[in-house]
Amino acid sequence: MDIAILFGAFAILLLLGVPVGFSLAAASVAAIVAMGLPPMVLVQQMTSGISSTAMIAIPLFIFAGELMMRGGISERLIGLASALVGHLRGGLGQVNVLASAFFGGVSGSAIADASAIGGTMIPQMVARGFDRDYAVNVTITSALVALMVPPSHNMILYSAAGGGGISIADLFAAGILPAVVMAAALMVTAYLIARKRGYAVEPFPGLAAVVRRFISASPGLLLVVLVFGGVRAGIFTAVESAAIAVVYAVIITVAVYRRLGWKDFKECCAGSAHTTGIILFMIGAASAFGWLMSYLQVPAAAVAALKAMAGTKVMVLLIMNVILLALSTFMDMGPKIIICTPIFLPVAKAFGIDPVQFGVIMMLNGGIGLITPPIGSVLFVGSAIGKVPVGQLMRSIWPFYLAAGVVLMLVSYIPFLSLWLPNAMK
Amino acid sequence: MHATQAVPAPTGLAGTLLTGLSHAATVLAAIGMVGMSLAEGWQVFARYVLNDSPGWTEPLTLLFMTTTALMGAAVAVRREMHFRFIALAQVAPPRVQALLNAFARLVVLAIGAALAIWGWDLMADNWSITMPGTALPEGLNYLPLSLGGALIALFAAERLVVPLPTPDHMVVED
Repeated sequence: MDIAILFGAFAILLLLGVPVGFSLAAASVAAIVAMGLPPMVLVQQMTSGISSTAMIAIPLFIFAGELMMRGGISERLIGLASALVGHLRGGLGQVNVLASAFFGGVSGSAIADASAIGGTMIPQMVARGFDRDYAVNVTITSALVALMVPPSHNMILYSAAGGGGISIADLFAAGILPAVVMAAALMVTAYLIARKRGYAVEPFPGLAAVVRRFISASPGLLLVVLVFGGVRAGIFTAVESAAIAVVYAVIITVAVYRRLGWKDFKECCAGSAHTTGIILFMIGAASAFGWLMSYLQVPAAAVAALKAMAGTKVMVLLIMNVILLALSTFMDMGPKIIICTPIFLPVAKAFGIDPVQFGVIMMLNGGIGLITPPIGSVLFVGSAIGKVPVGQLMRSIWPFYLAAGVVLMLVSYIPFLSLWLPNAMK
Repeated sequence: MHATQAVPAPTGLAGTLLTGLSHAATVLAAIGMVGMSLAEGWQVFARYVLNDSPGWTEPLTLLFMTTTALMGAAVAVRREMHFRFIALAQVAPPRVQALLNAFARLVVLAIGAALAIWGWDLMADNWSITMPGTALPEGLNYLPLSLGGALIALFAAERLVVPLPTPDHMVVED
């Protein structure tokens, strides 16, 4: 009965349009009252959810990403991508995917990626004759790559939600190969659609231009090396790497690129504070919700139910992917990770699935949720930038969904893709 | 994720006060963001350069983080930036749509008020305990939640009276 109240209240409130974080908090209050627990539990669990050491990295990476985005790094990364792949069929579409992969390594956030790359690329693509729906669809699907490359703050959240025992360094390494496969799949998709729609081809700017633009973009790219290399080598923790990323971003954007003025800095602080507020409030409320689930022994029940339903690893992966994809469509990434990790990670372990590989699977299906209605935050960002209604995007996005779906299946059923690099680096 | 339009407010003193509070919350959240970066940056510097890890950086960073989170969340309530499921509200007739929006704001108001009251109680209960690594009271950890909760309730009440004509998350559907 208490489980029904918890999940029922959440579903009803969500359907009625109550914001996700507040639906989670209100459903938790309803269950707490029904169970006769002291209502203070909500505040205690929310505080412990928000105020946890592992979480510190999240706002700091958001801040670093915002600084880099406003400080001129995105244009330089686009410049580099343009020199490398702009001459291929669907030129700017290919540039969009590659620039997203580069910028993902700077921001680690799909929303920041869609805003930074989309803000520059979508108007350029439209001006050069690309259809708006194509420009937006390429932008939002390629933003998924950011979820899998370091410093993906959702991977940090997954590690924390999994009890902190899953190595962040391993997770960072595990996402790289799937990110490359995803970028390749999206580039092929962008190419095929560009060919069908007859989009123009840009001339190759020459090797000298490639080198010049690489040098210009290298301070930004160095951040990826700094964060990933430092955490991987065990020199500093994920939180320390996030603080270093902020300091580095300030130095690069102020002293090297000379693009970040005092007004921009204040806007960066305010913007990243608002984003942090939205994300951490959801995480706090999801922590209270997750605590109640554990109290009500939902994870144990889920393991038993899934073991009964799916006899094999292949089946359990399929069932989990279907459930996680369905949940991802109406739940934002943060709450989904906090709520679903304690339920599904024990199931994955029971079937011999590596927690690191499962983390990448969680990122991927959560990412697909970010570009799927009704609560697809990246979809909304792209739609707003491109000024294309969501309904119109949905009519032509399916080849990109297909590509992302194929990559999800590859990552789910070929552990090598996510486990080879972390094992090779040990 | 930023506001794409001017935020409407009630006229007169109430409007000035609410706008001022919203600005103050943003400034506090931004200070928290910078404070967090400085405290954690100092931790790295002290650990690697001075070879002496200070104990105060972590509790202080966490305090800054909760402040940023709750102040940011409160401003996001005023701007109606929190993610929500809008499909039902979009297909409903205008009167039902207005009712659904009002209901959502009421729930936000109730949760904000609950956080304000229970957060305050927890702060009072833990005020005499000292936060490890600092000389600050442990109860201070609950102050951002209580204060942020009060602001959330206040801004949700404001939106009940002066709704946003087109919330940020619905702009895309225009």
